[in-house]
Parts: sequence; structure tokens; C-alpha cells
Amino acid sequence: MDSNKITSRQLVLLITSFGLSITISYMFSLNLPPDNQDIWIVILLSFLYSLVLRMPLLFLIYRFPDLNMVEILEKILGKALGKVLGFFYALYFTAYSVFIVILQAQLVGVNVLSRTPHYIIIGLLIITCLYIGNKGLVMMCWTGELVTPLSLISIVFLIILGLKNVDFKLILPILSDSTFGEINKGALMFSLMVNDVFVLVKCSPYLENKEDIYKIYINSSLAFTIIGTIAVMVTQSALGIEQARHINYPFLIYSRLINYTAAFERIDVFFVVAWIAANTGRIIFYLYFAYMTFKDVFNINNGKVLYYTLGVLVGSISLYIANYNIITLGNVPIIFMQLIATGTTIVIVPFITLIVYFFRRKSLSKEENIQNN
Amino acid sequence: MQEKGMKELNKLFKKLVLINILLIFTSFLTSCSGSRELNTLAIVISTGFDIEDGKVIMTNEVINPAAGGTSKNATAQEQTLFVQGYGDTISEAFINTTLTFDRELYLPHSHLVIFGEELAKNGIGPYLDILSRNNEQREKAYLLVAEGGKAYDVMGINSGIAQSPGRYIDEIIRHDMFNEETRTLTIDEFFRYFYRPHEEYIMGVIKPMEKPQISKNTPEKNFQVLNVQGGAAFKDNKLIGYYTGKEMIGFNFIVNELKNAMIKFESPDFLVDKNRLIASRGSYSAVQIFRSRTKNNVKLIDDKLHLFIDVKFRGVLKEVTQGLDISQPGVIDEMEKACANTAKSYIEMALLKGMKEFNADTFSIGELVHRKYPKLWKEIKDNWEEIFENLEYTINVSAHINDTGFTNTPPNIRKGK
Repeated sequence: MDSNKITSRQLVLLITSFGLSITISYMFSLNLPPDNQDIWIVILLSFLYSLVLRMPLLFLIYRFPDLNMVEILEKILGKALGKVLGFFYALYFTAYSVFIVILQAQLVGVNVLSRTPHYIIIGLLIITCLYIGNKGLVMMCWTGELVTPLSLISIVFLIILGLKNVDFKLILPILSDSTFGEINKGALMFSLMVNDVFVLVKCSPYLENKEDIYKIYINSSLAFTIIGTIAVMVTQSALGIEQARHINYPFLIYSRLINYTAAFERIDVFFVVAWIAANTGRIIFYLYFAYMTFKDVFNINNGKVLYYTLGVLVGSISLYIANYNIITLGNVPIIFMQLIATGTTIVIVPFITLIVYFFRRKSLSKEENIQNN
Repeated sequence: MQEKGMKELNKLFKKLVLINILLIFTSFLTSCSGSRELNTLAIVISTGFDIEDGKVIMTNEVINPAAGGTSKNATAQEQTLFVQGYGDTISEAFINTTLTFDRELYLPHSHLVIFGEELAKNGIGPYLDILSRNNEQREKAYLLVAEGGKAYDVMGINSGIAQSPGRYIDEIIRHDMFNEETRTLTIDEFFRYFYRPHEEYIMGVIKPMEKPQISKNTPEKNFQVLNVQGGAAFKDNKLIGYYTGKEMIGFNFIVNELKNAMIKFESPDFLVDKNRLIASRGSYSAVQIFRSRTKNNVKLIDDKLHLFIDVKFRGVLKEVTQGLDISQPGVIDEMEKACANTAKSYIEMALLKGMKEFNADTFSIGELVHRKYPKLWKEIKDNWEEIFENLEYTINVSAHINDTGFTNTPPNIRKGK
């Protein structure tokens, strides 16, 4: 095993736990169409949509395994357009980092540190992220391999412990109150709300076995879809369909219901700790992706100053927004912005790039041959 | 060499700065800012909501640390204090308690939320938000209605062994597993039913009762106990009436939540061999149910919905006062039929009260129709109240007595001829 490379197992664990952390945090899926008891079918179906919609992106990184995202865009679309789109990706990663920092600050604030000011929560979070990110992407993946199984096991453990409060009759009748269109719309939206394919995209140049790209994505996506579906089913069945939608953090409340005599209750803090571990990992990665992309766009060699500046910037913006806004209300503008941004970065840009690639593939092959000779 | 040394020194300095920053931040995590020390908190164990002159009265039973949990001199009543706050909203009443009380209320140990009857009749809608919004309030707290009075009327009574009135109520409720003449919902269970369109819900009740004082060491002739028998029915978020204890057994049968109940019944007179009676006889026998299962179903018969309730239960014969020789063939079978008929009558009483008197589907029958006939439900859901009122039903109850205890023949008849 090469310690300078990233293994397939590490990426499967990271993508699964990152996807799960965003799915169960504020359970945005409960507010997607058809917003009823059929949401679990929507999540299952979203696996297919995710696979189809991410194919262009996966194909590109499979075709150019040694190039990073900006280099692929520059190679296929030309230097100028590649840089512009690379800059757009960098902005997207920065904005997404801000989103998940605020999410963490607000979830931690509402449950475990209700009286701790946001600047302390966010400040500590950013320092941790900068410290771990400072060690590089490979080290981040190796650290993730240690932390993410604990998060995943904790979440599965909580799902099992809460089954006592579950009444599966609440998610009946199946497919009777939803239309075909609503189910598919929901599945499409869900597939665009989860963006952890970027972990694979950004880590692919360092991957030990580059042939595994498709396998990694399918395995991790399948694992997170199955666990996420079960998490949503049990949450709806324990809280009730409508009440689950009224609550900001439904799975947190699900874990608060766990009660096995007075000796074993109030273990929701397990969820918070497991979720913080997974989401902190997510923030570290997305902050680092933003840094990597900015670095590639502007060809910066020593990026330490850029990295720290970016961290402070993300922390400051997050702090400002967290102090004045609530982002977990499932409100339309935030969902819409996420859909547009993720749809553009994961589907539209890679799809256009792929089309251009097919038109230019002969000239690109010639260029490659010349370079190799 | 000197340059290398400087670089290492620089690295060490950076590390020291980082460690110091982390240590400074760690000191914030001790929660010194906005901390809540135990000696500043008032630990609430039960909460009551009432309404008077349009104002909400929030009554909180708070553990009195001065009494001391182990103090032999502290009576059960002294273990807790009662703190009230007034306001237009619950949160205002909550915060107003600090105007007269020297500690901040702390809710995570509150196991009970009691609504006064007047408030419940006016509608509980405005008082529900705080139950799910406040992160201190546990979702497993029980919801009750103070039948015939204010919440604070029932909150100060402790006639049990528990150390405080709140614990006393909590213990009675938890014992509903022995006596199913009640059904108390926790906050999370309540919200499962609350949002269902065209359906209604129930809550547990609590009421004070006078009892004669047995102990001759106290001058009072009577004393008060609390009783949780019955259930409070709601319609459009307003209290509309109460189910009796027997009706609640029927209710628990219908909703398949009956775990353990005593059924008292009269067996047919022809089973009694009067020639063998050696002592006077009573009118009833009793079976304690230890396992019960209900299958509800709806069918469309001649384009009309018909409800089928099929109950099967098993129990232990606990008492026979009628002078029945249960060792004789066929006697147990007849007793099982009589027991089943009594259970059926409880079910019918509950169902008819819900249908005809309350006209409120508190049994989730509408949800059953929704599951079985989703398309039909879409058509009829807006008229569900009328349909439910006139719903035709069939109740089948099957009882099995599995055990007769230590005796086969009761003492008031002679065994053999």
C-alpha cells in the first residue's frame, strides 16, 4: 500500500459518510416532491438519476485520470474558457463550504451548545479545518478512513436503537398519493442536492487504482442511498409524516426519542458527535477543493497564504450569515440555488465538455501522442 | 547552520502560537459565557398550562434542593415547590417566572405537561408550538388533561410513595400497562396523530378524588388521590368530552394498544350447579388479558364502507365468584364466550361514543380507509365526518383462557357430587 496514494476504500467511506451526513442533517428530502410517505422511493430512484447525470463527469475523469478538473476543462474547452469555468467551480466550492459551515454551526447551536456564540463554534471549526487541510489531500483521506467508519456505525446504531418508536404503518399507502411525475421530479432534485462525487473527482489524480473510478462511485452511492433511505423511513415512521417535515433536524429528534429505561436515554449527543465528525470532514474537503481550484486557475505555486485567506473568508462569511439567517428552513430560494449550482457543476458543464470532447477527440489524441513522444 | 537553526526556531514559534490559540479557544468551551450552573437552575418535573382572564398561567413543579433528597425530615410535599408565571403566551409566562422566583426553569427533566380543562375546551392549538420548538422539552413527556378543573388543582397532590406529586402522576401513568382504562400519549406520539387530516385524537386525563382517611394519626377525615381513568377526546383541537374507563379498554382494543387489562364478566346462569353450592355466590368472574391482537379492516359492501374489527386475546382466569365448576367440560368455553362478549361491549361503547356522540374519528379509521382505498379516500375525505358517523361495523372478539391459577374449582361449590 502506497501511503502517498488514496485507496478505493478510503474514497468509498468518505463519499458514503459525506452523502449521508448531508441527507440526514436537515433531511431536505422530506420537502421535495411528493413530500409525503413516498419519499423513500424517491431516494431509491435518485440512485439511478445520480448515476446517469454523473456519467459525463465520471467519464471525463476516467478518460483523463492524471489531470485535475481545471486541467481537463482547459484541455478540452481551451485555456481561457477552462480558466473561467475553473473559477466558477472554485466559487462554487467556496460557497458550498460556507453553506455547510453554517449548517454545522446552527445544528450544534440548537442542540449541544445552545448558548455558545457562533464565532466560537465557527472559529474552532475553521482552525480545525485549516490545520487538517494543511496536511494535504492524501493525509485528509487517510484521516477520513479512521473517522468515517465511526460516524457510519454510530448512525446505523442509532437507526437500530430507535426502531422501538417506529410504526411503519405511517408510511402507507405506498405510491397512492403521489404521481409518476412527482416521484421522478423528487428523485431528480434529490440527485442534484447531493454533490459528493466531487470527492472522487478531486481525489482521482491521487487514486491508487484509477480503474476503480466507476466502481467507487457506484458502491459509495449505493451504500449511502440505502442507509439514507432507511434513515428517512424510520424518521418518518417514528415522528409522523407531517411532524417530520415541521422539524428542522428530524433525525436529531429521532435519536432524542431513544429510550431504554432511565439508564439508556438522551443519547442524541451520539448523533451530534457522529454528524459533526462527518460534516467537519466535508468542510475540510470542500474548503480544500476551493483552494485547489483557485490555485489551479491562477497557477499559484505556494498557496499557503491563499489557503489561510480562503479559510478566514469562509469563516467570516459563514459567521455573518449564521448570525442573521437560518438556512435549514427548507425554503425555496436556498433549494433552488443549490439545484442550479450543483446541476451546473455536476451535469451541465461536464455534459458540454463531453460533447466538445467527442468533437475534438481526434485532435486531442494527436496532441497527447505528440506530448508522449 | 545559523539559518537552519533560525528556521527550526521559527517553526517551533508557529507551533507554540497555534497551541496557545487552541488553548484560549478551549477555555471558551467550559461555557463560562452563558453557563448554567446547577445551583442556578430550577429543575422542573411537571408543567401545567391554564387560562384565566385570557392570560396563560404556567405552573411548574420544581425540585426543592433545600429539602434534600435523603433528608428524613422532609415530607413528600416539601420535596418540590410550585412556581407560576403569567403571560399572553407560554414563553412569556415561562420567562415571567423569573420575576418572582430566584432560579431559571430547566425543562429537560419535565415528564408531564398538563392542560387545564378550560384551556383544553378553548382549544390547545396556540399552546402546542412550545412543545416541539423548545430544545429543553423532552419528546417523551406525557400529555394530560385535568378533568373538571385547572392543571394546578391536580399538580400539588401526592398520595403515593413517590417523592413528589409530579413523580406520583408519572408513576401512575407508567402503570397503565396494568390497567388499560386510560391511554396517555407522549408529545411525540401526539404529534403523529395531530396532523392527520379529518381525524381527531385523544389525551390522557387526570382528576382528583376524595378518599376516606384510613390512618387514625391524622385529623382529616378525607384525603385526595389522583385518578387517570378515562380519556379526553378532542375535535378541531378542542376538548369535546371524555371516554370512560371501560370505553378506554374498548378504545385500546380498537387501536391495537391493549397490553394488559382486567375484564370482569358475567357467565350464563345455566353453568351454575346450584345443588353443589356451599356458600353464597357473586355475579362476576375476571380474566386478566396478557396478550391481545386487533386486526381492523374496511371493505366496500354495496358501495358502502363497512368496518370489521377482529380481536383475539389470551388471558388468565383471575377470579370466579359465581360458583362455576370450571373443571367441567364446556364451562371454560362458555366463560370465554362471556368474556369475549364483555370485551365486545366495551369496544362497541367506545366506537359508538366516537361515532354518534363526539362524531370524531379518534380511532384512525380514516387512515385505514386511506391505506385500503386511496382513490376512494381522495373522494370522500372531505365528508369523512358524516360517513364515520353512520359507518356500519362488525366486531368479532375471540377470547382464550390459558391459565386458571392454583385452583380449578372455586371454594363456594363442592367438588364432585
